[in-house]
Amino acid sequence: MKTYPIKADLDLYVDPYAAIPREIVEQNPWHWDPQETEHKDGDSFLYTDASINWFELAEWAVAEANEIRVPQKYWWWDEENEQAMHADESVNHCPIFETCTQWMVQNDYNEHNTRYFKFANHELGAFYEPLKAMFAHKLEDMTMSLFVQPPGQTMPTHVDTFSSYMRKTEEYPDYSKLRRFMTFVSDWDWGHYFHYGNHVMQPWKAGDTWDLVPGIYHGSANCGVTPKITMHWSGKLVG
Amino acid sequence: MLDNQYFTDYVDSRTDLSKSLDIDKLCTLDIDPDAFEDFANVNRDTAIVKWYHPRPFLNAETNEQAINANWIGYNEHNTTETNWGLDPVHNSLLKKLVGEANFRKLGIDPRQSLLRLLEYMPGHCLPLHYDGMEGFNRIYGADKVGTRFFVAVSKWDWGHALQVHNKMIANWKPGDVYIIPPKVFHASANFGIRPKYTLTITGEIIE
Repeated sequence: MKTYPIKADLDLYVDPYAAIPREIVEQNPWHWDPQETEHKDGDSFLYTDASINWFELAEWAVAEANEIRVPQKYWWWDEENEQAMHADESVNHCPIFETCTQWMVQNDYNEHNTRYFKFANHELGAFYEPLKAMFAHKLEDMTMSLFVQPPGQTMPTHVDTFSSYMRKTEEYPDYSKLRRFMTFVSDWDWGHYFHYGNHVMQPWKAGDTWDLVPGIYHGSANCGVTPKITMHWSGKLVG
Repeated sequence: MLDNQYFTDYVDSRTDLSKSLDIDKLCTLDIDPDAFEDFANVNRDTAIVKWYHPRPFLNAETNEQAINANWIGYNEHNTTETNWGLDPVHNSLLKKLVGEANFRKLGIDPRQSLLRLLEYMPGHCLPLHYDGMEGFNRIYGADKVGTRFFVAVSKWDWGHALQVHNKMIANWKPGDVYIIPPKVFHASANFGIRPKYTLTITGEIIE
């Protein structure tokens, strides 16, 4: 059986570094070598948080996702207008654009394999305040997002460029001051993958919290059976 | 609604992820990754391109796994694989690329083995499953007990991953070999930006 043709010629040498905004790579030097073994990519684990009932949050998030049914977020390439799209929003003006072309022009990432549910800020309902309290003392202009990644979906490898933060503040980010923290909301399960640079995170426990140091290439996938759920805080470091 | 009850029951009734399994690297074969990638490009027109779904020549267990996977969202958009090796000409050419010395290292007879070169493009994965060995048994006989070797061909790259039971296998070098034990659930993914090439070699251990 034949499926659809690949989008562009295969390229073993796509260079992710070339797609990253210069200020990010200059402010956050990193090895940029997938073969590097002498690295510290797994060193930014912080702690396992017990202030939140992560099991309850996971159950709530999956129930919300099942209510909505259609993932709100996905990446796709608008062929007609040559625009990189995140759901219904063009990101051509955003610093993630060049990475998006590597995903969706040079490769076959599309609305079918990048879908996820997103619940942001006050959409988190009763969890909003306790989640906010976790990092309110560390981050200014903080945004919070919970992602539910269904089986069969990926978040292609990328460096955080803080597009949501840009939308909130309407400013081009000062990457030397921005930070993202992430907590795994559910325990590691079959097919749940997250690589942070050359470090492959596994196995994780609900509440495991990471400081996603800027400028490190990372991504995730779910080729298992259950949804993978993560919580993210972004903002400007206090002080 | 993510209706994963059938797949979850299927997996839970057969294994326990909380029990650890040792999956250690067996050895590293001396292979030339470029030769395999050239092979893929030269023989692209005669490759098998398939996505993960039930097929009439697979056994009931394998098809049940595929049905369960399709039910929760695996489809042609996230599980497409290009492979070479079932064609006897491809199988023979791939064996030459692997070479006699490497077969000796694995302890299998190249004349009684099946090779598959797998190409996974970014955005595609092989969902959780265990191997049915249908191809190997169809060619060499249902009584043969094949051992399944995973061989890394392309250098490990960001977003390339293999999970065997609770063990994540990544950061590999070309030629690194791991045995996938029978009836052990495993899965793999490419969520990077470069293609992932691997070989599966199935053969009966003779020494």
